[in-house]
Amino acid sequence: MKEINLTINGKQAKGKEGDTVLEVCRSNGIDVPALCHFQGLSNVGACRICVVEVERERRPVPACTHPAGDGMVVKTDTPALENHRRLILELMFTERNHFCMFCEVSGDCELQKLAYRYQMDHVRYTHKFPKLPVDALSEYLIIDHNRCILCGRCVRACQEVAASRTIGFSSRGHKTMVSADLEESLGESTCRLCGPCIESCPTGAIMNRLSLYKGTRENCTELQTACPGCAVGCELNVWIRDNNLVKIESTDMTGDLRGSLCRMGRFELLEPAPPRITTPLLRNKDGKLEACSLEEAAAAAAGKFSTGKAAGIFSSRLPGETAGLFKKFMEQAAGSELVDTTDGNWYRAIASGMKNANGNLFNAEIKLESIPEADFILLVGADPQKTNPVVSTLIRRTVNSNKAKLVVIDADTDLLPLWSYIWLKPKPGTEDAVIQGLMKGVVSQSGARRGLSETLDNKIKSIDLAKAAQQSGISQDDLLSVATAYAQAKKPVIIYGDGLLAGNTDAINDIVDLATITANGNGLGVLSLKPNANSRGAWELGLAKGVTEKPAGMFLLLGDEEPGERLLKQLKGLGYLVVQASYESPATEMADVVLPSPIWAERAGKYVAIDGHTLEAKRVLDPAGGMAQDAEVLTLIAKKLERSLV
Amino acid sequence: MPNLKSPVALEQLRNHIMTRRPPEQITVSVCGGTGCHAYKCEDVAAALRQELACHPGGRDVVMKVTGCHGLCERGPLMVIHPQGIFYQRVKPGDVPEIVAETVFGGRFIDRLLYTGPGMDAAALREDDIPFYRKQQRLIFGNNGLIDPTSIEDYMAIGGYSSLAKALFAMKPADVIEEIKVSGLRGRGGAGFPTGLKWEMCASAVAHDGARYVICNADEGDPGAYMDRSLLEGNPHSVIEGMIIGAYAVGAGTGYVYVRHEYPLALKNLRTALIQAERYGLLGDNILGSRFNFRIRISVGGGAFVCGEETALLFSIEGKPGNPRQRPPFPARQGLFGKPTVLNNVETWANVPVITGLGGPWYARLGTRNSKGTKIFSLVGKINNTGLVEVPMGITLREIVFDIGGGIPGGKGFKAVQTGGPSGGCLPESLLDLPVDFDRLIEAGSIMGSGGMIVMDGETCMVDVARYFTHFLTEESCGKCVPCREGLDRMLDILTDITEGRGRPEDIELLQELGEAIKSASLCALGRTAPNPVLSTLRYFRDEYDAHIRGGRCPAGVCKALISCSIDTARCNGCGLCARECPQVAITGEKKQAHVIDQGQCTRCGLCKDLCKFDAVVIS
Ligand SMILES: Cc1cc2nc3c(=O)[nH]c(=O)nc-3n(C[C@H](O)[C@H](O)[C@H](O)COP(=O)(O)O)c2cc1C
Ligand code: SF4
Ligand code: SF4
Ligand code: SF4
Repeated sequence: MKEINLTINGKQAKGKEGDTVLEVCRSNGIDVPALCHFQGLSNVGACRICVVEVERERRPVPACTHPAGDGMVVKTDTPALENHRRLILELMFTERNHFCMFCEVSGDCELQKLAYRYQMDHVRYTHKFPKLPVDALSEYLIIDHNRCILCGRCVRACQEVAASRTIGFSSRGHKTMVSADLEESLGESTCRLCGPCIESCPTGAIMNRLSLYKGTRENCTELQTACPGCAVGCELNVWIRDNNLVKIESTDMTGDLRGSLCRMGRFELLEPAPPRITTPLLRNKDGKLEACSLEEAAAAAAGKFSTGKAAGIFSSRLPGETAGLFKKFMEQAAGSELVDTTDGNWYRAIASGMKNANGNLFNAEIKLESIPEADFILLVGADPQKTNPVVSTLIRRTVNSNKAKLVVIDADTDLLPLWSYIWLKPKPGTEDAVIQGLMKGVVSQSGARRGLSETLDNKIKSIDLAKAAQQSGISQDDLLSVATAYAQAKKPVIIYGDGLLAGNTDAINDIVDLATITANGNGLGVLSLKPNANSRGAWELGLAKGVTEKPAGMFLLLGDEEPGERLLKQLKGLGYLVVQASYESPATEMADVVLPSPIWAERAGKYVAIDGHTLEAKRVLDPAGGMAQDAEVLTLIAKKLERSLV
Repeated sequence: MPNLKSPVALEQLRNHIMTRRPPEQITVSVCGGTGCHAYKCEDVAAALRQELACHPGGRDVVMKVTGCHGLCERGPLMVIHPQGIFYQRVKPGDVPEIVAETVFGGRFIDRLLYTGPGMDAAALREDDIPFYRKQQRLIFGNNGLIDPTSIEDYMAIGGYSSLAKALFAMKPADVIEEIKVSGLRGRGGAGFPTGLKWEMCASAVAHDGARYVICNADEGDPGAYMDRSLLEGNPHSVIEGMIIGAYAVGAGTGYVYVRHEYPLALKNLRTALIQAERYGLLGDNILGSRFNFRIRISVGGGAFVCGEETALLFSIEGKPGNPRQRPPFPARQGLFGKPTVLNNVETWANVPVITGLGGPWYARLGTRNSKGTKIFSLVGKINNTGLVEVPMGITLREIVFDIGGGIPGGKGFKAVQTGGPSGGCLPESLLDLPVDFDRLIEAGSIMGSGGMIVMDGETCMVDVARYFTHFLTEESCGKCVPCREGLDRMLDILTDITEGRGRPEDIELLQELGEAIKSASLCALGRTAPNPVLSTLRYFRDEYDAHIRGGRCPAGVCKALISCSIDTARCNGCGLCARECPQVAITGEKKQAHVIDQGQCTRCGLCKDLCKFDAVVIS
């Protein structure tokens, strides 16, 4: 990129060709104020706060949109500009109802800060004091139109970051309003509750309901950690005050693939949870759980393990370090090879499909970075909006910006089908027939890649398109038109998810075969939607082997995961049950020994995300009641069993 | 239908058309323009058609419904050729007489001839009428000669010969050069040099080679209808201009963006496009030149701001029609991100003239920096409302008094607003200002798209400023703060002043707001919107002072500042006002002087209008 030289306020400044004047100013430490500009969003030049004087321009120009040029002479702080900014601020303050002392963001508000900076201590124009609504019907967001300055940052964040089209402007002129789905309340709109709009809002107009009046930047500490919500592996910027979570924001919502966050990362982690387990519990003679010391509980657990072979089930929400220790614990202390993860069935389904692919199971999968580059996305039996919402965001963004074709098979719960080019709804459990139909279609359109294995070759030959259509209920025409689009794509991606678990793990085999046919050397272009923050890490450690024989008892390291139905069923009729968990649940109710476990914010460690990306979770809160970390508890039980885990 | 494969074929066709049209041919043109429609010209046309059908010689008479002739005040208009006899205010009942006496008898009907103030004798032909005499109807004059639905009519007056010349005798760069030399500046508002715009577009990088030309026929100016009249009356001239422009910049597709309130313009344009395609003037391999170009129509929703070029582009793309910050300029990144030339209807209509007669020829018309002619829509308190085309550099006085015929009712000239709602109001002292892009800006107004509103002595300039500011506040798209909020605050202040709540400091606030909005708004709507306020502050400051300091409205318009009373010396007690007063505020015995109850009176002014004895005084 060519370097350019500017003179700003009489001083030399360097920039790159393609920079805006504002970018050059900021990178040279010249603070030009701006309200409608937000780093990483497109620029619109609407607020006119950032206007600067550029030599040879007839009138002041907005720095945020004006391209910087070599030799340009810029002034950013002349008295005329300062007066102009004060006037704009006066207009903004008289437009709607700003009563800072009652405002959630007072102290953090960009508008308020500028008013101080430009000493706008009174206004000369009459206040409009309009009557405006507050939209508080959404679960997590509140829009207070009284404080909106119509900068449009939320609108652009919704379009460009969330890749949604929920927030927009309605009406026009001074009647303009920010509105969801054209004058719907946010709570009843297509809002996906992901929240970049809140983060982009310069004023107190869009608020996070769960963070209201809990703290400002000044009285909070901000710490970065990894999101435990799902396997995408987003980074969180957590606001802490008095060892409490105040707010969760992204670290870089416009710059980072994993930066936009979703309802889990931004809101659900702040939601009130089931009662915590803060002390160890033992079942007494009356069958009731009773508090005891950690020593007592560890000894009791050790006692149980000695009575017969345990199966160990591990929550893949927990970090890699804990996973490693757990494995060691089961092998060396509990003396059992019967281990599984809370999502082990998912792993085994993938593994069975991937055995067709050569080499390491997961190396055949794509990185998340490949999604935005795709020109064709096939989504099979997956509802990413539910399981991995940021993947859904990435897909929408890709459809938006690359005009990628999205084909959805199944998944009728999410809004993604609205974005798709074709939505195929096969008869339940016949996804494999659909995929086979596509295989046949692709080969008949473009011919198979040379060097396919004989097995695959024979498989393709044996597929009967008419039969596939009849089985699945998808017409041959639809199959062929999807196959054509797929065959024409240069960077196709197939994403599949838990929808296949319910009954059609065969389809995973077929997906791998289909990807193999069109693979162009850059891997298969397949991604499985894994459920938990450290699913891939725990699986790679070999923890998802599965409980292949009936154990005497069970050790459940659940952490802050809620036990699912499948797991609860497994717990019935066992000799004993030891549960290490953060929250009370049906599992702890059944347990003989309950051991406390810190929640995500109270522990540290590494996660291996959906695509192999590793990230580091940091401890941002002190553990409730000063409880021990999972590792300490495991080590203590091992010690009681006279085993060392080092 | 001939699909013309070469320029020679076009010339042959033209000759063929001409042989069927001897000079002695009797032709009756009835104006079908917007103004005449208001006077039911279609009834006149129907009567004429019927009358000719009944008449034995009727078959040999050609009848045409043409586009607007300009003198809308006197519509419906009719012109009878070959003599060129001009009849005005024709009623259907006049038609039999016209056919018998004039068409076949060759005699004039005096009462249908035009007479006006300062004329010794009635005018026989358009040229005899002062309204037309000072005009130079380079673009608009053909409206009266052709049936807009007939491509042959257009060819008969030389239509599409400029296109043939451009395609076969000129390189694209030559065409651009010719336009540059002509000095043509955009007629849609900003007056940007057209040749320069084309050059920017032609030299811009287009990755896939796609470029567009667009005709802006949004015409959101209330009261302006010159673009509409051009499209209705002579659509082929605009199409020809666009094809030449497309050839010059290398565009393959054109769009005409027409507001949906213009059904006749749309209809005539559609017809013309179909004809042009059939004749091989649009589509692939135009006139055998290997140049391909097509034109599509995009119908606009009608918001004023959609006429702004970037808003218009979004609107064609199917997005909300709000302006965006430039750069990038549309000539570099326009429709769908491709280099795009966007010009006004009238600008396009000038292109065939320039291409045909040459840039130097055109550059002789007008002033140093404003060349050619400009069409204005002359409305308001003026005798001859209508559309006028004048050479640049003509003075306002000539337009208002010589062409427009002055102010009706002896009420005296007060101001003329040029350039539509966001133009400035110029006072009597500037009547000798030559009409020219730059001079108008210096005077605090704009050429705009050519609206011209004349105001008489009974107009309150503060109220005028409030009126236009209100219009613009409502039309602001709301994207940028100075325009959205500044105009609204300005409107509040103006409303206060006209309602008697003005404060001395308001003048300064208006001035400051006006200048801020002008310098800092995102698009030209905001950048021109303060003109009505700033120009009235500049030229009619005394009226503001009278409202604020004196508590009175000199023109007697602002209701809160006036009172209506009855001059007892003049009132003869006829009682008309008392009967009609909607507030029943007037009482009095028959044949006795009446009085107005000030508590009841809403100062609607009805009594003043009704009183035959001028006894009602507004003060
Ligand atoms: C609010 C607003 C409304 C406009 N409306 C029109 C219009 O109706 N017709 C038009 O030709 N230009 C209109 N313009 C000017 C266009 O933005 C543009 O300058 C013009 O169409 C360019 O063509 P020209 O160079 O031939 O004048 C408008 C501009 C603004 C700011
Ligand atoms: S949004 Fe900002 S300026 Fe408005 S009330 Fe809140 S703190 Fe004050
Ligand atoms: S809600 Fe906030 S971000 Fe959205 S337009 Fe209003 S002030 Fe800007
Ligand atoms: S100047 Fe007015 S119309 Fe133009 S962008 Fe700004 S708000 Fe919209």
